[in-house]
Amino acid sequence: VTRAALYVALRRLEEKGWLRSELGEPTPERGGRAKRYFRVTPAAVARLRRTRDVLVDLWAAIPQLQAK
Amino acid sequence: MTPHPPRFAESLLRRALPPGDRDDLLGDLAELYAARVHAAGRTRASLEYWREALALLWHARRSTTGGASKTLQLLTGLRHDAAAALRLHRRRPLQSLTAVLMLATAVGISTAVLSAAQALVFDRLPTTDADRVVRIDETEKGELLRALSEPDVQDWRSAGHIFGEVAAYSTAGRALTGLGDAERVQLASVDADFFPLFRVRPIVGRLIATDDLAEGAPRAAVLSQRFWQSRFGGDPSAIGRTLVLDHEPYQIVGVAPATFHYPDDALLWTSLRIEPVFRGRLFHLLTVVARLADQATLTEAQAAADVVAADLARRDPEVHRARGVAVTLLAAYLTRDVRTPMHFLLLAAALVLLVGCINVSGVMLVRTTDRWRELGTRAAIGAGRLQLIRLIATDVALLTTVATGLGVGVAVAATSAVRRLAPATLAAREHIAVDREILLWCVAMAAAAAILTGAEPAVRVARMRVLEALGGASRAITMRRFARHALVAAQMAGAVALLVCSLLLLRSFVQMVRVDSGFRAEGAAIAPVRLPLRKYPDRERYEPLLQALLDRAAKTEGISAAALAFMMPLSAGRFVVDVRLPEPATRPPIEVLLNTVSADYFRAMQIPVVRGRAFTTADIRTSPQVAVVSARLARTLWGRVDVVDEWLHGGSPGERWRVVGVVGDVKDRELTADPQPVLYRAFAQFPANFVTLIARGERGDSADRLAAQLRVLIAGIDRDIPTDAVAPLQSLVDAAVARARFVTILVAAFAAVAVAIAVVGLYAAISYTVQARAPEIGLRLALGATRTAVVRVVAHDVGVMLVAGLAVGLSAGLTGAQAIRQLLFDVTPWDGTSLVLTVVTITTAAALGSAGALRAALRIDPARTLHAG
Repeated sequence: VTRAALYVALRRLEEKGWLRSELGEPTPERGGRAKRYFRVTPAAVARLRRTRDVLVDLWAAIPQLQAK
Repeated sequence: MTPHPPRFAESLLRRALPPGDRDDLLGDLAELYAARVHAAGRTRASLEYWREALALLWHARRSTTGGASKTLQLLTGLRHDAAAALRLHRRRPLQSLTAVLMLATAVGISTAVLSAAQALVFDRLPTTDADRVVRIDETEKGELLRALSEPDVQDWRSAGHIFGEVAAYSTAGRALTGLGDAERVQLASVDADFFPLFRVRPIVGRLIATDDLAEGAPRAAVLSQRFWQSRFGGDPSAIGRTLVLDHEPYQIVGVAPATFHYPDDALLWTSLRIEPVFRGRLFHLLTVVARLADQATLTEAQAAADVVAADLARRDPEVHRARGVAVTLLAAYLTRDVRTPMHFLLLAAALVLLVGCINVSGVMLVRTTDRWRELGTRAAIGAGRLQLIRLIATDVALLTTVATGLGVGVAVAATSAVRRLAPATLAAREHIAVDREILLWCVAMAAAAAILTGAEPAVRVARMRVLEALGGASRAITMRRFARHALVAAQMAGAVALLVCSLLLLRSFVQMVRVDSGFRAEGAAIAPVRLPLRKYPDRERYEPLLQALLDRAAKTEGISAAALAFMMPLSAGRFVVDVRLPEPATRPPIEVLLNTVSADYFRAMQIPVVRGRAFTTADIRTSPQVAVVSARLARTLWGRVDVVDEWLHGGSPGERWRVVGVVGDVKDRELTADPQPVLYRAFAQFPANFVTLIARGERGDSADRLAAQLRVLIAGIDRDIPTDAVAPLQSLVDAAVARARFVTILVAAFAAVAVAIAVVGLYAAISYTVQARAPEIGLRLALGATRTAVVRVVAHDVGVMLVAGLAVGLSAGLTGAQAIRQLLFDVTPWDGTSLVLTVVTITTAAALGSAGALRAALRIDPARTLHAG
């Protein structure tokens, strides 16, 4: 995964409301620029849980695979 | 301090990224950059930064809807243009490929040759300001003569104001012992002014100082960086250690920098010491270099030198009669033998580059015509002129970028080939490498050509009338026929000029190899044997040893004749003596080369005995003094060859020899020069401590095996004699033609490349002409024209280009031939064979090139072309 792809993904997640972010303090080793901290929103956690449940159910619904 | 990330990448990002994200992303990258600099270094970190930045730019462009920055728009546009250009290349892959390959070859070959020239001409110079350093040589009757004597040097020192430092040195080969196998090293004995004159500073220790020159002081040695690395692994503790050269100890005092290798790629410099007996004005042992004083010019220096020389002649007329002094720039002196070939090669390189560029021009012209309709369509559906011009510019840029990239590869490969081809005797050989500046220059040249050729279609596009363009391409083509033909003719002219010169050099080389050296070089080996006077102080010590060596060699199985000689043909070093007839009034004395050889010399060298006999083992120290003379000596002095039993006077007063034999002439110095008269004396009557052992093998014995046998023999008599210079006798001849061979191969390779490029260009141009005339040819065929008529149409086009190209090329070639006259041996610049061969080669190439196009022309289907028209 490239860094650029990661940034894009993070921003999309934020647009959809699954992430919230805030800027920290600027530091010298960053050229005086602030750092962005991401936090997962409760809605995102709930959604993640639901997605997981659906996926697990889905797998459970598939019959045992047997090699012949 | 925290390192700053690449500024350009950062500013690109700053412009491309949306304001909300900008700060934290740039911050992340900056932090990462700092960490990487710490872990992997700045270069690596910068590369990584660029990679991330480009990826981010890519994503940013994709996710931006509207509002993208101008830079990004431009980048996107360029990408589309490049894609369009690539599509075109894919449609005509052969055309693009040939253009790219030709340009790459031209850039690569030119870079390689120019780099070689750079290395050979400039790297020989000991200082960056070599135009301020001169050599002072004595002349006799206008010819550069020998080195200067010790009192002479003092005179020059006191000549004062016109010269800054004046330094004297002499060069010699010495046997290095005590460090592994005995080895012969080339060294220069220098005085205290030598290094300061060249502004050289030691990298370790110190250089030669005035104290080292004092009577009784230990002799000092300065190592070259090369020698220091190879023999001491660059260990600073080498300073203070002792080197044994010709059984004399030298104390190592310092190391000179790698950039300094004057004179003759010296391995070592030692403190100069002149034995008191050699200090008179008769002993010309020293080479003198001087730095011109500030403001002083070469002319002023020469004028001042003339005054000193005149003064010397007045004071000492006996020694200095008819002698003058020449002040030569060191740079000019050092490059004297490579100057002509290299100037010629520079010209040839420029020609190849020109031919390559013209070819690209041709391709670009053809492509624009090709695209005319497409460009018209683009204009019709709303493309701006600027966009169209950019389309063409991208195309050109793409072509040149790929070509120059490949060109760099070709340059590297070609340069290493040139290095391998260079004669081993060439001092600057190791310095041949791709020169970055020259590479840039060649690439710039190619780019300039591409831009110029791109400019022409761009102007045309700017003036394009859309409807006309949509109407068809044929009009555009007819407008350009002259230009295209002129380009092809110019290419041919370049190829013709190079071909003429390279054929001349080739013929001259063949003549040179065919020259009779006067001896048979195959099937014999030679070994220089130098017995240092310190270990073998007089003939009583060294003569028995050399005799023992000779006897052992003669008895060795596989050796049919063994001999000793003081001097070898085709080698440096001359020992001259004045000889005269017994009656001095009849003829003035003449200067001859003196050689002293053992009994079997003429048999070992296979030099024919024309009259009388060769030396025998009966010619010993106590028997009557005898001489063998070369045919030329006999003819010069007596005016006839049969001079057996005549008497010859010379050397010291009262010295005279009876001539017992006359032998064939040998080339003493160069294959291309007339042989000098030679006087041979019997080794037993006039021995030397510095000789060459010659061994002639029995039939079928290889020279390499003989050389190996000689090494064993020499090691058997004294382990301290270096055997690294034992070689086949043929090596003398090879060395004599090495320079000519090098130049010939380079120029021939050049000509081959140029001819190939021109032929491909010719082929492309002709086939395009035929294609462009397809409607016309179709019409002719439809109206009942015979195939012969069609052939005539095409042949006419080719003929015009051929005649123009040959006319211009031949006159350029003849001019070039005049310029390289100096390099030609036994071939006149107006050599008919070379001219005819050139015409035939180029005509054949043109005919072959047009054959394919003709075949295509004859296949034209009249009905289809008429429809399309």
